[in-house]
Amino acid sequence: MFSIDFIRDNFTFILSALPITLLITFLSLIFSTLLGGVLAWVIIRNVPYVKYLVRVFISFGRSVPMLVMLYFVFYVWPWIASGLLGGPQDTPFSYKLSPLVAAVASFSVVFSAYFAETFRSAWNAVEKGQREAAWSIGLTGFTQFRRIIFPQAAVSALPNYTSVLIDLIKDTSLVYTITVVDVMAKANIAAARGFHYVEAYCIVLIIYIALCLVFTRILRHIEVYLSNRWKSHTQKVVPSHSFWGKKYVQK
Amino acid sequence: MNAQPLLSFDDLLFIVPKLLENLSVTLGITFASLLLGLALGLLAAVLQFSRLLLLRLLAKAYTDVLRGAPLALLILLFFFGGKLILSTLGLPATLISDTTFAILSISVGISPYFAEMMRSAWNAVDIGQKEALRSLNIPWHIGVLRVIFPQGLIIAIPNFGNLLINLVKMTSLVNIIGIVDIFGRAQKISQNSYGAKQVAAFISVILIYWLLNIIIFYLTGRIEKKYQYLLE
Repeated sequence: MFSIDFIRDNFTFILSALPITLLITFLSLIFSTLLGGVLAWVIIRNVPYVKYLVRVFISFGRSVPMLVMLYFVFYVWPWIASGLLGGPQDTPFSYKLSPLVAAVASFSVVFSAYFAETFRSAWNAVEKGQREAAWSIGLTGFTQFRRIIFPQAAVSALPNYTSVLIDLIKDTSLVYTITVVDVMAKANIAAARGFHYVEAYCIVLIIYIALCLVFTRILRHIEVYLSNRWKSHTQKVVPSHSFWGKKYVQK
Repeated sequence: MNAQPLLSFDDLLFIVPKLLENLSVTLGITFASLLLGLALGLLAAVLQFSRLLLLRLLAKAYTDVLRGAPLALLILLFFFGGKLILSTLGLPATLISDTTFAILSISVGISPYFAEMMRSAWNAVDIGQKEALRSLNIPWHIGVLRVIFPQGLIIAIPNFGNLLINLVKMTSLVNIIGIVDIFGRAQKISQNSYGAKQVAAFISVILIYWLLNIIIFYLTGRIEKKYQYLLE
């Protein structure tokens, strides 16, 4: 039977694992943004030979399911590592990654592909004339990027960046399958005491929805702020209005 | 320790046909939830253009809330919730199969994305087309079907390809409620061999998913290129 009492009693217990979820999210966000930036740079600059590798990597990252990737890094990686690197005395267990590291590694691999696509399309969204104008007034390569292209590209990349980040947050709910004690795992622990699975999962659902709404709001703030600050000839990004925040609709 | 080779070609040849037996499960769930998800997404997208404020808010809330809900959670919630409802009503627990719950939850999970895709495609069709329909006195339903829908379809295809790939990836989650798809079969193979075939099994799973998604990429890319001229 559905019991409200269970939700009331166990909400804080399940919420106490939120830092783990946030930690995984932030670490993999940082790593995958950096790696995605490098991948996008390779694709944009058309680096010979490396670009084919990067293309294969992006197609790989986009087409392998997150669950398979997590299993692969956590359960299969020790075997591969001991086979490739280890001597005859090594066991796979000495190469076992800690669950947190495995989670962050697999999220970084998969989401760097998405971020690379995002950055590449943002780069392409900046008008070609902007770059030519910057060359013609004699800006050097990095200054050109910093002063001209980045402000415009960042504004047009942010909506996509937000949606990939939301996907990342949603996918962190899978790390309980590789024994990280996150919100989901705590919910399972709490639910197993009295078979209150539905209530426990409702709590997790509320937490995740709140988390996603908060992140969406923060990034939309940044987007509106940046697009007002760095006014340019790029097409104005109009945030899609929702009933959670109607005052952010631009007229 | 390393008496056996880590990954032999024979193992792959042995495992891949076994996994392909379960490809029908993955593809069946994908196809069923694609149809249901498109229907739900269409409903949500149409309601967003509704004249009634209440319906508009409802559709908006539906898409906003479900975009933040992890799919693994939705699958578990539908599964356990469905069983709870069935047992409360005094019906046998096997009345609705696990696959049905999986399809329902995946299509609910993907439907906000489909709704968003349809809404943006509708908005991307040039407004002059709609004005032309009105000025030529073409009936609204015929105009939508023959003029606006084909253009919106071409605009939506790149987006649709991405969502289809996401959908194929999402179906790997059904094995957390015990449905044996490709990934579940690989887990079984690796358990039956006490871990000896683990590496080969998981690598072949990755290869199959990769191949499947490369095919989708290729097809959507070709369709996009072929009909691009219609938009210009």
